[in-house]
Amino acid sequence: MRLLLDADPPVVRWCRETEGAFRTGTGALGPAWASALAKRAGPLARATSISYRLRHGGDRISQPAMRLTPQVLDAVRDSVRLEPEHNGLTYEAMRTMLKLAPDVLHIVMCDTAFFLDLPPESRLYAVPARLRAGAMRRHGGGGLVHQWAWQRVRELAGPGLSGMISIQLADHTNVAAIKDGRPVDTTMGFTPVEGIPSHTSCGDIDASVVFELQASGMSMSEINELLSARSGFRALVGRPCGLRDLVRENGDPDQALARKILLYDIVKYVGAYAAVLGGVDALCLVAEDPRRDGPLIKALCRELGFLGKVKAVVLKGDIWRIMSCRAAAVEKEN
Amino acid sequence: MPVDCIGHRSGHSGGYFKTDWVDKGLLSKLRVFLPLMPIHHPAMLAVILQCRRSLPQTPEFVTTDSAFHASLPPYAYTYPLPKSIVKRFGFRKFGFHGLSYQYVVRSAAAYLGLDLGRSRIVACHLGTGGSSVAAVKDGKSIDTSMGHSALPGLVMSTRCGDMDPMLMTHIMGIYGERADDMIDLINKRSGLLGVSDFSSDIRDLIPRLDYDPNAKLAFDMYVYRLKKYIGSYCAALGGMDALVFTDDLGLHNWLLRERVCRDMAWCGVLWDAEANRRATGDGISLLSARRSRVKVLAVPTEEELVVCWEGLRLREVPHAAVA
Repeated sequence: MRLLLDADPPVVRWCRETEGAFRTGTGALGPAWASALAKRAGPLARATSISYRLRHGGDRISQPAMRLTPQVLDAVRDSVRLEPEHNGLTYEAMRTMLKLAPDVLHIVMCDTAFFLDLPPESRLYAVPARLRAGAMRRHGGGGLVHQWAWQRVRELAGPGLSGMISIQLADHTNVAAIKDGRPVDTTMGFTPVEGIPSHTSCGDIDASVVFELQASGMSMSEINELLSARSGFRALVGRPCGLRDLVRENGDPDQALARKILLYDIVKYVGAYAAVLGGVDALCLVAEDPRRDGPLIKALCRELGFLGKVKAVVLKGDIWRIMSCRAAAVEKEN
Repeated sequence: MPVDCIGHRSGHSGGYFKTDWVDKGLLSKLRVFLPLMPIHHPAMLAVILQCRRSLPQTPEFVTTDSAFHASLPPYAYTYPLPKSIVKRFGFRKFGFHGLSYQYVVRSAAAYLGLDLGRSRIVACHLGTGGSSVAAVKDGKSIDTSMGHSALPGLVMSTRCGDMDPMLMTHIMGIYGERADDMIDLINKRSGLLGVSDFSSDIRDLIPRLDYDPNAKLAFDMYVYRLKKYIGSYCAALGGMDALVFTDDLGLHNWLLRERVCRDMAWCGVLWDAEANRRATGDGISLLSARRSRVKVLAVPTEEELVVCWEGLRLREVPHAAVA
């Protein structure tokens, strides 16, 4: 049995995989968390591995999947200040699990590791050197999915594949430009807020907005919370709004605007990445539920007609399956 | 020579998109938007007030660089922030360099024999100070790289351009950097100057590309960001008919254009490296090959002329009728 954990504040989602069969659930971190989890997922000490999805690896976690050693745990603690919400929860989950199941193989799956070696011109912000030191750079996100997408499309398309744009269609949609398996650029930046708006975050906006908000008396943590948790589609529509609510227009003009912004921003990034790749061989759309998202995918493909004849591949991508196959690879190495 | 009226060019107009005569109401509006253009606005306001003192009988008007971008559709100008915040602060994309775009797209279409009303043009205004890109469909702006302020978009001489807003809160929160210092840093000490740590002028950086890694990084970042915007707006337009370069760097820097355009065959640009090198920037020059589907041009801009056009247009309208 493999146990996979993914922080999704305020809860931790879990998935237990036994010989290809998945069982999932959620739980809130607290004194009773681990015992409740063991009751539903099975005895923790009998797991072959426990894997954690880390949203933001900072500049110290260099592999998409690696063993959780004390040094790696230290790097995770270090990364909490970059992504307090998800990483803080993940870090606590790791400490609890390491105590309860010290003999099990613990694995970190890092969403930003794939993007660690982005080229300097896409990785760096155009600021003086002291503001682009260390972790102050583009980290991206969804790296596990994009790297997997490249491998899958490569299997399908063969060795002729060079420039690919990968679109992860989700509540927090993000796009990556990949050349010969290596990352070239991606929409999420220093934090996942930059890029395409999500169900709760604002995406690309004029950074000087921060100073106007601050001048009005808002604190930095209030501004962070505003831009990352109270903006995006929910702000446009005026109520919680995820990808599933944007699949087709429902007659509400605010929802139509949110849907149009999502499509438009994806289209603009595809154009930008086609330009930096010098042309595209394949476009890959990864959706958790391609059937449900069908109308959105169709609308997107219509708007991408300017690319001409480019192979478009739709993959059903599920973070649990991707994590599970990576965990199996790390288990084998041990 | 008697002066009929004096025209001022305002970089930023806030929510105010039209050309209009200077009066008390307009002056107070301009004061409200002073902080949005920390480099230009204080100087413009000082000149307006000086003119009023020295030439009290001569009417003055202000025309704005945002006016051309009044046609942006909501999905291009909306920042997805809570409605109460958007309403309170007036956050939205405004865009700049509109006078220049207004002029160059008209010239480019005339030169190419293109019907401006049925055209898709990406225009790059690359100045020695600020720079931006605009997507112009059927003669109307549909998107542009600057935003609520002139900060976002391209890497500029001293502005950083696009930036994760959370990096600002991170730096201020963790390092206790003061907001005023940050504003100064990203507007006046970033961009080419901040990255090269040497000069804000790309012409100073080019001779150093072979041996100065900072100069090379600054130049590469400038080219890279510009390429992204051209691709992005080509996509927004559903393909383009023409790509236009203007202002000092757009007209006179062949290396910059070469690096941006040489591998754009994917969107229909057949590059003519020789024509690009030869172009002097004095008149309109065609930089793409004759049979290129997308025509690439260098077009001198005349922002002052557009200000005068606007003044002439304003004088023909009775004062009260000007909205």
